Amino acid sequence: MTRLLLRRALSVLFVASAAAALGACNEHLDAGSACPSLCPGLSVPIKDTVLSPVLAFDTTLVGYPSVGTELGIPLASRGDTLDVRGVIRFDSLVTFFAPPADTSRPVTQADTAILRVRINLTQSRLPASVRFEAYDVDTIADDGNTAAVLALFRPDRLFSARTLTRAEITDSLIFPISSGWLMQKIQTGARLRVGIRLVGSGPVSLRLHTIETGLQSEIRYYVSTDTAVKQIIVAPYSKTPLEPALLAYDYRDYAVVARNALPAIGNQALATGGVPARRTYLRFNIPQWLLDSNTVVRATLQLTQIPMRGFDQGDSVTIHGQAVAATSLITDLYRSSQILIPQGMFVGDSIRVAPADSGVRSLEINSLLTVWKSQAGTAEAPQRAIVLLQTEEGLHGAEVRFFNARAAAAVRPRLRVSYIPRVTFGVP
Amino acid sequence: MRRLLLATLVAALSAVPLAGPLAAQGALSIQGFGYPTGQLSPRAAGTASALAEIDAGSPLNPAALLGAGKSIFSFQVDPEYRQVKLAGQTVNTTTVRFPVILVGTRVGARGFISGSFSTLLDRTWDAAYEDSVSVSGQRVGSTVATRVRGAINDARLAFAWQLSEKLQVGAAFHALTGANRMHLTRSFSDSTTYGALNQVTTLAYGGSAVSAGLVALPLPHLILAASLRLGGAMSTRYNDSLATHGKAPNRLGASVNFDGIPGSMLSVRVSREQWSRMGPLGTAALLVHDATEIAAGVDVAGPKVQGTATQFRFGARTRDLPFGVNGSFVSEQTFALGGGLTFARGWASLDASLQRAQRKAGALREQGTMLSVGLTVRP
Repeated sequence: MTRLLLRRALSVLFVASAAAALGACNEHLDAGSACPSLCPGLSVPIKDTVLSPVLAFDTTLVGYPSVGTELGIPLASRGDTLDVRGVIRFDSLVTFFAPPADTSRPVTQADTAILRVRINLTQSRLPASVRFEAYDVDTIADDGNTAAVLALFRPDRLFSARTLTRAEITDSLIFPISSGWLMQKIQTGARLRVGIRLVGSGPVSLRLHTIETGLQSEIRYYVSTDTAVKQIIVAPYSKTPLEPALLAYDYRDYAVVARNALPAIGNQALATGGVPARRTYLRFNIPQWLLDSNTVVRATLQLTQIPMRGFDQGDSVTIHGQAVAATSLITDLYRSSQILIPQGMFVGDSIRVAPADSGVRSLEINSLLTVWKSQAGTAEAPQRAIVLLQTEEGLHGAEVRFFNARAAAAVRPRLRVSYIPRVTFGVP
Repeated sequence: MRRLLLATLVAALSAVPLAGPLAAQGALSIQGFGYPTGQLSPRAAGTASALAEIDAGSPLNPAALLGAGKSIFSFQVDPEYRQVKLAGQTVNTTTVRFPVILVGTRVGARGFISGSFSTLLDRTWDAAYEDSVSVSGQRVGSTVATRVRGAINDARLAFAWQLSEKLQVGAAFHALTGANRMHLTRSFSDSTTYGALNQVTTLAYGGSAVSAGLVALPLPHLILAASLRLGGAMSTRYNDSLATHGKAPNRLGASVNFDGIPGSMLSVRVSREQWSRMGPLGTAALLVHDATEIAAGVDVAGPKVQGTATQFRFGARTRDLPFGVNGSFVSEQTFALGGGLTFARGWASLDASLQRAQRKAGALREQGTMLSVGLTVRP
């Protein structure tokens, strides 16, 4: 009996010991109540400093997005301040067709011809009535010669027009096209390049969809009275420029700025947005001591906004920063300002302002400094630069300006940095 | 019974590889360079260290190795369940240690050589607390978290010699090595705007010591044991850069043991360790002092169960911990219980102990419950 009891006692003792040892393997850590009282040496001080000047170089670059890559054509007619028109190229009209179960034959008629454009009314400004005018702007001038194109917006080139009240303007607009006029183009193998212009009873602005937005314009016409023959649909196409060939794709539809009366930027300002759109390029000169031996907790780029009076001055726009991915081997700033790390990566912050506002604006770029620190000294390190651009770049007339590094010290760009010096932690 | 022993052995062995990184945090016992585990085997721990000077499994007195028989291999796992009471709050933590691994064998008829690896100062803990700090003029919620892993270990090569039936002596060389790998983070509630501090540093230790000891039987059933460790130079390296110089702590221990009762041992032990020699290794803020340890314990034979010998142990100890906090030193009182059984025809033994320690420094209180489970094989 005694032995039995002893055996049971030993069983309990050793099984409990083993279980306790096993149980110790997955204990939960309860944090903190004993700290900082019993955790000496955990002081982690945070220091603040303002770096000014902090820019090695800054400039404003014009012409973004590049011609024809806009996500829409921002048509505008704002009196004598802003005039933006659109061009859509149909350089290859259909000249032959094949009836069902028959051979191909040339087009001899173009009935019920229309030009259909798609409208985006986002942020539009519509007066009581708007006249939409379509011009034949075909020219042998160079593709980049916008003056030659603008010169063709004249009455003798007007081939169609529609006048609509505000309520009649929807997401689609059809221009009727004279069948005879179109047939002449088809039979002579001529190009059809359409210039679109707005004339409003007051200031007017709206956007045309483009190939980039997936709702392209199109020419439609019937080439036969036989209902079995389908309607011809012609999509935008450009045969020029021949070199580089890819550029012809961009010229299928694009915007042309006829007038922008905003005052010049001057030598003490940086600009973003507007049409044609501007980008601000900022190259930083971050002290190496800051990156080498400290942990940057917060880095805030502070910019002082210059109030802009003019069209769209009260419209709020969003300016975001994007880190430049181009290495220092790329010296062309225009190209560097296109080779960017995707929006939201490393610079997740943005600035929401109206052009007429003023004051200090902040942009958090702490993550970017961490990246620059990690890539310091590598041959493929990107430029320590960011680009400021508007979210709806090239689609809005609002232009936001800031003082640049050549302005007075009080208003020039600066970087406010909070950092933790290297902590000698853990030495008792 | 054999099945029970086998199951227990398997369970104890299973605990070893599964035991992960430990959980501890701000506590009285892990101040300074860490907690002195005592380098005790489960057998010695069962008597609150009273048996340490004559225990072959505790790498303190090299002369005691001769008690191991022909050869020895032992290892153990020591989880500690810790409870800190501070300002009405209670913090529970757990830490697991593997304080002693020892192997040795007879050399000739009178000699014994042994190598061991034991924890001198364990410094494994986590700590995290929340606060708010001013960043660029704004108050931001923040979490400070620290994690320290590592220890100062004692790698010992020891040799024991039996001069006569009444006197055995030993000497050893100690390499004191190890490192603390330390993680420090400060993260913020708004992680999109504020970057986190994430710092990893290593504090490495290097030092040496020599020790000598004796075990004598001046009278029948009276065993006297004593050992002395003399610390040599010691240094720290902070992230591979030489940081500080100091000296390894000296230690002097002695015990009186009586085995007049068959199968039993009554022991009283005193030890003094000069931890203050490590002072220059730390910063000026390090609070360190020499510590005295007094322990008494009994190891008694239990009944045999189907031919298997059993032992029961208990003891008590009082000591100071070497490193203080907030201007106060930490005292520790420990009560211990333990037991062991021999199996496999006396070739192996499984020992376990349970120590309950009360620590205090000023108004701060801490309780620690230390379990030690060890397996010893004597092939």
